Amino acid sequence: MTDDNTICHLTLESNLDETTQLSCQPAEQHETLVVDFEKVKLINSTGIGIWINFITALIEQSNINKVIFRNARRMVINQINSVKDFLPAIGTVESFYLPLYCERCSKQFNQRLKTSELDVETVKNLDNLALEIDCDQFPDCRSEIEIDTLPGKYLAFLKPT
Amino acid sequence: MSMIDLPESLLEAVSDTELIDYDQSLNLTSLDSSPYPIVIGKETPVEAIIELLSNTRFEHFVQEDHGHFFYNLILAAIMQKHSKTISTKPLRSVLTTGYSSMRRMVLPFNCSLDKKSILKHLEVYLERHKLSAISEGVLTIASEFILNALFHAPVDSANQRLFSKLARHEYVELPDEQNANIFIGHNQTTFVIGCQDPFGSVDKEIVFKLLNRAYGQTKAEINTGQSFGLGLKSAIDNSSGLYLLVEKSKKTTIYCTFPTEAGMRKVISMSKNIHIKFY
Repeated sequence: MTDDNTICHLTLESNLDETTQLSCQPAEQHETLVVDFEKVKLINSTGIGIWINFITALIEQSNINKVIFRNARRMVINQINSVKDFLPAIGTVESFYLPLYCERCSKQFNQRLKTSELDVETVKNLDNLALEIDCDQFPDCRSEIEIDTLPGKYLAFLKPT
Repeated sequence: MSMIDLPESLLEAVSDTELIDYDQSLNLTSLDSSPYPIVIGKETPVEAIIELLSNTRFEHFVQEDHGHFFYNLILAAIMQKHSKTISTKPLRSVLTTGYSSMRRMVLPFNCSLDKKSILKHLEVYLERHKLSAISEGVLTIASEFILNALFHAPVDSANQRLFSKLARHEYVELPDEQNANIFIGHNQTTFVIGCQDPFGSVDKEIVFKLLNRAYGQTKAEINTGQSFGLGLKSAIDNSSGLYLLVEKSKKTTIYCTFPTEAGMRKVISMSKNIHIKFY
């Protein structure tokens, strides 16, 4: 955890599971909590419970009135879309990873996207985005790359509930 | 079924199976008396399958558009009549069409310290066999299976759960030096990840209650004791099919399948085959 005026930063160092131990004590001046999920690649059901209990209590016991999720991978986005309170009501997703699959290499890789840079057209035609991305193995795999999830479902978190 | 060109022994095994079309049978509960029914659907959502299996005595739901339709039907028929055969040799039964090309691994475990190394072994297996595209789904499911076998499954002689109320980070060891197993295997078309525990303690009513709750809400809610339901939902959502066989007080076998030549997009968008059998 690092301090920066009114912003409190929390970086999760590993996957969210039964071994996860979370601690964060925002100072009185902290109003925004930025959570970096870069290193969270897997989440199990116990980890979901640990996270929700932690973030709910933290918001209740502090002056935090805004939560920002940064670098959310597929597993985090899946939970945001399907589990109540995983992303708190005062939360937004600043950046996330779009999973991609190269059929030629049978490999999965990710493209980082910023929510603020997504316009309505890009969201509507997300599959077209894959045509502009190179495989991380071979540059000429471009035509073999597809979004490795269902775009409509994956981006459900962008719509207000 | 008898019109398919199959060996005599297999025909005998599946001959009295009754196939019931989900879309055309408006009142499925009235067909509930068939001795060996299998319900067939097409693009049927998981919520509808769970509702059907909870409210009737149907145990097998096979989707026409899933791929390998006849093979899956035969497998369901065998599972229906010869459940013990499937639970004795799950990998051999499920991957039988490509048995010669099959690769497999069985990883026994008996305490919570084993989980980390099992997940590492799985990761290496998936990488070695160029299956890393499905590793997120496989590792998530394995994690749920292991926790369930260690914390939820163990019961004492009075059928009381030994560890279900413990926090999942606590150290636990299966009683009486018993082992559970994680098993994985694949052939050219299918990958299987499963778990077998020696307790057979899964309760049918609770399974359906949790699944109905998990699938009945737009967004699942986490409450005490609900993580098992969320774990099962995660297993279904992250695979192409779920098979749960519970031999009461003896053995629970649970496994999920994946197509081998695809990423997670195909896996999550596939119609799911679901089999939940208690015997």
